[in-house]
Amino acid sequence: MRKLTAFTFLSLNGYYKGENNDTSWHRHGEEEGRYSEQALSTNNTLLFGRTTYEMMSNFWPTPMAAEMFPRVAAGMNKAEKIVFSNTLKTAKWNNSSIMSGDIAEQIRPLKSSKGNDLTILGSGSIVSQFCDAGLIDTYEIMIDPVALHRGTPLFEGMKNRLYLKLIDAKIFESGVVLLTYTNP
Amino acid sequence: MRKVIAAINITLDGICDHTVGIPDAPLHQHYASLLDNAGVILYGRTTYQLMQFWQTLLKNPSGEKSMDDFALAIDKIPKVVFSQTLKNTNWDSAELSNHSLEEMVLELKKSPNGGAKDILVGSRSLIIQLLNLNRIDEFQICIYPMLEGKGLPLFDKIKDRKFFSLVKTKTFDSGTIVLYYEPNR
Repeated sequence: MRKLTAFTFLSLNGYYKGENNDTSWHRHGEEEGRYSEQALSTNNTLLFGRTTYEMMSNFWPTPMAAEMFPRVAAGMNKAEKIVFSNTLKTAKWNNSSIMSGDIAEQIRPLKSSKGNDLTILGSGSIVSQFCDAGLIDTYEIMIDPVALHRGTPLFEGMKNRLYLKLIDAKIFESGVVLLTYTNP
Repeated sequence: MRKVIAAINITLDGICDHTVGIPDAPLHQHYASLLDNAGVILYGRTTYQLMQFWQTLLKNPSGEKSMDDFALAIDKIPKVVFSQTLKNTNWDSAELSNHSLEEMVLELKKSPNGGAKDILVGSRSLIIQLLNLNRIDEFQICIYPMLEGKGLPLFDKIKDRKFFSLVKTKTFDSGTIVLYYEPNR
C-alpha cells in the first residue's frame, strides 16, 4: 500500500493561497529548503490539482528556480508527477501525466499498486475530496506566522469533521511550525 | 506595561467555534492558570453567553477538578462585556463596557485596576477589531487536532495581511498545540 501524504504551507487562518493565488507570504528559508530537499529525496510521486500544477510547472522548470533553489528545482523536475484534471489536454512538465474522471476512484488502485509513496502538494480542491473519502494517511502542514485577509482555505468544501492525531511538531527559525498529523 | 493577549482556540483549518473541540483536563488547567495570572478578560456577547455556562458549575461543582478549578478562575477574573443588546451581565464579576473597545483597552492599559496584570481578549470578534487597530501585543492560538470544514474563520474581515513572530509553542498530549506569537510592528 502506498502511503498518501498531503503537504502544504498554510497561513494561521487556514489559507494555502492568498488573493490571486499569492504565496509570497510563505517563508522559504534555508531550513525549509533542506526539509523540501529531504522530502523530495524519497522519490515520492507528486500529485496535484490543475491550479497548483500550473503554478508549479510555470516556476520549477525556469532558470530562476534553478538559481534560487537548485536542489529542490532538480528534485521537483525529476519527480514523477500526476495532475488531476478534466480539462487539461497535455502536461508539459517533465515526467508528468494526467488523470481525469472520478479522482477518488482513480486513487484507490493507485494507492494499492506497487510504487513509491504519494504526496499531494497544495491543491485544496483535491485535498478536500480526498479528506472526505478518507484517502489521506498523513498531513504535513507548515503554518506560517501570518494572518491573510483574503485567500482560499485548504479544506474548503470538506463535508465531514475529521479528528487527527498530532505526531510531530517542528519549529523553524523563520517562525514556521511544521505539524505532522495522521488519522487516529 | 500590561500586555493585551488574544487567546483563542481554532481547528487546524482555521475555524473558530467555541462549541467545537475537545478541551480535556490539561487544557482546562492551562486556561485556568492563564485566567489566574491575568487582570481582566474582554468578551463579546456571543462568547460571554457561552462562558456563563461556568456559573452553573459554581453552584453545582462537577467533581472533575480541572473543570471546577476553571469555573473558579473564570468567576474570579473581572470580565468586561461588549454588547449593544445585553441589559445586564447577571454575573457579579462581569460588567458591561460603557466605552468603545479601543477606549476601554487604552483605559485598562493605563489604569492600576487589576494591577500590572495582562488583559485577555477571549472573543473572535474583539480579536479581529483589535488586530485591525494594532492593539494586540501577544497571540496565543490554540490549534485542535481536527478539521472542521465549515464555520467562522478566525481572522475574517481583517484589513490587511499581518505578519507575526513565533515566540514559543506548547504541545499537549491530546495533540492540541498552542502557538505564541507577537505581531510584527
